[in-house]
Amino acid sequence: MATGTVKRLGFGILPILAMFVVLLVSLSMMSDATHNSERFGEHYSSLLLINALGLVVLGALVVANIIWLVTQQRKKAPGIQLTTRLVVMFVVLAVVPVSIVYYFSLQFLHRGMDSWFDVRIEQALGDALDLSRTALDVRLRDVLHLTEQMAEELSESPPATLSLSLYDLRVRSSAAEVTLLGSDGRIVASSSADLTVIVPSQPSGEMLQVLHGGKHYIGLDPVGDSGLYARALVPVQSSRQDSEVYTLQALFTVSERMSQLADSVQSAFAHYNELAYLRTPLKFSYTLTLSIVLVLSLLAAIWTAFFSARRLVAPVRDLAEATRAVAEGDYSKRLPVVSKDELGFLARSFNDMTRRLSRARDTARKSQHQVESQRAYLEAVLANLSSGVIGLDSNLVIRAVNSAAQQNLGVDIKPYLGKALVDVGEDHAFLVPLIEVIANNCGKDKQAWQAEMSLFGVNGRQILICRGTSLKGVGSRRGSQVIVFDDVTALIQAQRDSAWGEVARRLAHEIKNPLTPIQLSAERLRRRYIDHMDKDDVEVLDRATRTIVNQVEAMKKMVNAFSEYARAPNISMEPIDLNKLASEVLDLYRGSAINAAIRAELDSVCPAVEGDAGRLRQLLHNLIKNALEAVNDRDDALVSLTTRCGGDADSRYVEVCVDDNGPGFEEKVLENLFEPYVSTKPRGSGLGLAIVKKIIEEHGGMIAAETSPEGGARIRIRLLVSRTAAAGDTGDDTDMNDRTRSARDAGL
Amino acid sequence: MVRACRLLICLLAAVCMISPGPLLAETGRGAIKVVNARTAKGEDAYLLHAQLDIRLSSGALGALQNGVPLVIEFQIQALKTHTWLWDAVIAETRQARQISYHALSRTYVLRDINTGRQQNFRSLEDALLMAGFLQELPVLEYRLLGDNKNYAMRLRGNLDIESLPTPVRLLAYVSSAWDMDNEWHKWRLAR
Repeated sequence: MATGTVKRLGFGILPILAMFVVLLVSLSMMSDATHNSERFGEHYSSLLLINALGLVVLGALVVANIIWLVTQQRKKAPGIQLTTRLVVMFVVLAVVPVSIVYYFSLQFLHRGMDSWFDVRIEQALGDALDLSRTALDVRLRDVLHLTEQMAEELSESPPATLSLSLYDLRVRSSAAEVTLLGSDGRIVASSSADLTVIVPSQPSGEMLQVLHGGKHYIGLDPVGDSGLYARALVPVQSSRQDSEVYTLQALFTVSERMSQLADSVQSAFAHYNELAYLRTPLKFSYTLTLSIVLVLSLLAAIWTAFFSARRLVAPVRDLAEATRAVAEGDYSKRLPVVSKDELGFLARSFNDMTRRLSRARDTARKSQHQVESQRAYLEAVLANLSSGVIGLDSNLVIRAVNSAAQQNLGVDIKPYLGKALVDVGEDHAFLVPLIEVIANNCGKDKQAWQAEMSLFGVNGRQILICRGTSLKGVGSRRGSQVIVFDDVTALIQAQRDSAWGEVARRLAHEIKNPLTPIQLSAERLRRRYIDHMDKDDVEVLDRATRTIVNQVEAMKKMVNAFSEYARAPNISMEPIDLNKLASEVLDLYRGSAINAAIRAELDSVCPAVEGDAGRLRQLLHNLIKNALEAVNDRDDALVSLTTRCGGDADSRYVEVCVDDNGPGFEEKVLENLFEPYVSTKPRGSGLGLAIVKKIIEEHGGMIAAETSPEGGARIRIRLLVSRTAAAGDTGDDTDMNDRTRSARDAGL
Repeated sequence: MVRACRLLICLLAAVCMISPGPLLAETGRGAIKVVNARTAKGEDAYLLHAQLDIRLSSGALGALQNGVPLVIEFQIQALKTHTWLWDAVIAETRQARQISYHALSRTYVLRDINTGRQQNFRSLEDALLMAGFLQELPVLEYRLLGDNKNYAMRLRGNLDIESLPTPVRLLAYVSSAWDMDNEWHKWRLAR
């Protein structure tokens, strides 16, 4: 607040104008006082002090303005260059004419004052003064003579009558005052024409000194405002020897006319003399006054220059500052509209512009906020989706991916953001089928597509349902793609298990339950009627009942086998050495009475797999049994079991191939080979390979059947390598990739 | 006030574009010194008897001889003195005497401004001698004094510049030709 007050006082126009007016009045009074006028003469010093203080204040204001200008220059404040130029221009415009006027005024002043004085006037006044003295000298001589006569008369007078004699002499001589003084200067007697005078005028010491030299004194005495007096001092020589020597002082007035003339000459001479003496001081005073006026005018002009420049530049400076603020993003800046001129129009236009910009920015911010909210919402939805989502641009570069994609694929895709989708395939070969499907469908400009595929990756065998949607592109450019894929492996497995479980339950309920009464009824028929029937009928009955019982038993076995297939077993996963397990199973068959040769080619560096030993043993039994049954009627029957390790770092697996040299699989059987009750054997239950496939699915493995190029059947299974074994085994990735590629080529 | 004016005018003269160089360069320093001063007891007040030696500076002398009247002012103060504090002025008297030159009669006119009494002198020395003579001047009434015995008197004389014509005043403030020494003369008041 204090700063504001100082600023208002320092830079406001009204206080400065008031001070300027006061200084002008003061200067005018000082100028008047310089003439020694009675009005302001006695206040000359005060006026000088006021003006000096005013100048100091104005000077301080100007200095403050200059400091402000320099500071603003250093800060490179907006509009300061223009302000400086205007100030310089105003100052030059003010200083030059004022200085010229000052110079010539000074010249005129000095010359004018010099012209007041003339040697002839001075001489004339001196002569007049001498003339007056000469004229008065005549009167003085008369006065002296008269006084001497009075002294002679007094010398004869006895001391007792001195006063009366003095009175008489004064009256007769027309003296203004007559005084008789003692030798020690005391007043012995006196007589005055002016009755109000109590103490007579006394002569000075120097006058009496003249008398001591034996001379008479005569002189003119100016007496206050009463004009001139002629004073005469004459000793009074008494005739008595013992008498004291008195001094007679007589004061005579000069005639009124002569006194007036003498006063006139005296005052004119004195005035001229004083004026001549004051010429130089007067010049100095006028010059000082003029200089103060000059400095005051200059300081006022400079201050006005600053004030005007600031007033003129203020709108431009405000505009520059506001523009800078807008450039820095501050759209709240508004300019004050103080005038209706072009600058006012500019300020209004600027305010309109910033208002619109502010509105547009607010709208943009709102939109951005909405977009961000929607994006956050979308990300939250995507993050919580169980489906994997990958966003691709038109060049199949990954732009977005959610966490479910990593869970579904077993590979962290996020490091590949901004990279081509193909790059993922190069690092993770098992994803190549998925990438190819995506690439193929995206290249066809389909609006939406769907595909199902099977991957054998980190999580084992996976069935993915992949859906793609093409977003609308801009112009001729292709739009982005959103790929959504779901791992339906568990779902399909669960559906299948549920379906077969339902079948098994129905079979048990609808078929197995009536079988026992059927069997019991058949056996009862036989026991009750076989003894009462003739031999032919007995044979028929026996054969029929046996057939019923046998078939019932067969049906029971079939239902039990199916229940066993549909039952979800308790699997205990542990690292299993497949080579060892295969050797144990093969050893069982080598010792039995079979006519087929059994060959094993076991990869010695096969790592352990994750699995349940019992279930895998059953799997191997089923495969070898199937193979043996397929070559049972051949002389050169051969069943071989091969193991090898394959895959890449993400998905290492152990592949087991069981080959035989039987008739192989027919093409139509291959499609449903692993479905229950599908068999190529006349007496097969149709559940062997279905159970094998079920066990493989339980272990997250893959199974494939094919007819080998040599003509026999080939069943290949793949099981994931145990994680602990995979971690300790470096393996040859290149070789594994090659093997994987071979397996894919083989239709796995 | 007078001192402040003098200071400011000196400052102004220093910065003034027109320098009164010749005037400032003049020398001839004057002085008003107290030769002797004493107080005597009067009827109601102490009476001052003093003699001051007045020597006019060259500037003042020039002005006087050119018809400019000069006023010599005497300042008499009665003080209550303190050991550790400043002295307190309990009474002050001023006496002013004007000296002027009457060209026609070639006399110097000495006029007591306080009483109006006028004396004429043929020589300036006599006029100044009489101007510096103070006799039986009542300066301190008894009623103003308390029981305290620590009283003092002091006296000084100075040329009254403010009584000069306006143009000369400025020079008198600025020019060294007008400088006049005037120290206080102080003495204990005998009771």
